[in-house]
Amino acid sequence: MAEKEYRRLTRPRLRYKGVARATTRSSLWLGKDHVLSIDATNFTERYRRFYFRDIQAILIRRTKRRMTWNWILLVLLIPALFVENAGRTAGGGPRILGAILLLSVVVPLIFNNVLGPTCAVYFRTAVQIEEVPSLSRMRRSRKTIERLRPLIASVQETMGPDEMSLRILAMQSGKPVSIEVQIEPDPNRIEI
Amino acid sequence: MASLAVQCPKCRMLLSAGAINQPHWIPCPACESSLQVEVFPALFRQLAAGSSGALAVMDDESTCFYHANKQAVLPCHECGRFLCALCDCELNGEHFCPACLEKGRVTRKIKSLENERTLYDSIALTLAVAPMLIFYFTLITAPMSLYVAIRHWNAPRSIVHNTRFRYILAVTFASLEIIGWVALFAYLYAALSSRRG
Repeated sequence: MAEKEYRRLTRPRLRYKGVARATTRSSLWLGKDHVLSIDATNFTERYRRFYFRDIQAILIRRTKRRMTWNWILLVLLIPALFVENAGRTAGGGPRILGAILLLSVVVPLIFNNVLGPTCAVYFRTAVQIEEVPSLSRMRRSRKTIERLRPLIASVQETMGPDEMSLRILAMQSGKPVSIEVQIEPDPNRIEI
Repeated sequence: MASLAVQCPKCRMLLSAGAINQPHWIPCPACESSLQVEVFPALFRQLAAGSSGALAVMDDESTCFYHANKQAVLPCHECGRFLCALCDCELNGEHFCPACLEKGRVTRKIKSLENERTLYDSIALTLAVAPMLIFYFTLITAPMSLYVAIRHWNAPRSIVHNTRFRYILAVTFASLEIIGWVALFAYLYAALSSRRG
């Protein structure tokens, strides 16, 4: 059996950026030498590739989305409790409707808190800082980054923590950083 | 000098070096967003300077297909034409001439240049299944679904779910719907004929 070209890193998640993108689902896939971010509508897929050798930084920003959803769902919970209570006293069909209404608020509320704190993750390359919408929960993001870290490190030049600190300090002081780049001869190059 | 600026992704404020590679959350100095920044050695990598290609000096030197006066340094991976440093376009370790690169993008031959796909299998399946709620629509949508499925049978499918399962489902449902309509019309025709007779 042929080896799969991509392995799933995250399941499709809805993008929460404006009404127009509400139906877009974003997922993350692991390729041989890159991470593939797919934004899928029902009939199209858009691809963004982040090559391991090009990823310069990964940024995580803590967001308040979980808190916002908690407030929204708690506000909705109050009328749902009233309806459920009224339905219970009435019995029959209204009782079932009230229970469904209550569950439709309670279940997302539980899920929102079980999934943990929310965040936004960005990949920085030489030309862009791109948000990865499928990484929206802290726990999942950390797991994914843990998985990507050795892959990124394996294709980039080795740099110990001390050297990294020195370069960062050089950044801080504003001194120009001289970097020696070893360019290996290309085997395809024609000898003339 | 390499570009060493790491910005806050929310407000684009430049972050100080002290905010980088910290195990705990660091507030952005401008918007106070809690951030964690992990940098990799690629951040310090200098971009190689581009070359316009050296001029050919000797008569028997290989020259670029596109620039007859410039030294060839590589053959194109696709067409084999000799290229100078200016015409050499490297993509994932492979070297292409500009024409092959453009052709590869248009014809979708170079997969890593492809950034969008239309999922015809999903269109066909939706056309076959969604109108079943209001069955009368299937009179139009079933042939449409069948047409889309057959017309785009060999078109590239999703990059990650690369099977024809949806096409097969669409063709099955659309065929059943068409058979249903044909049977219904045949029954009505027979009923009308017997009433007239």
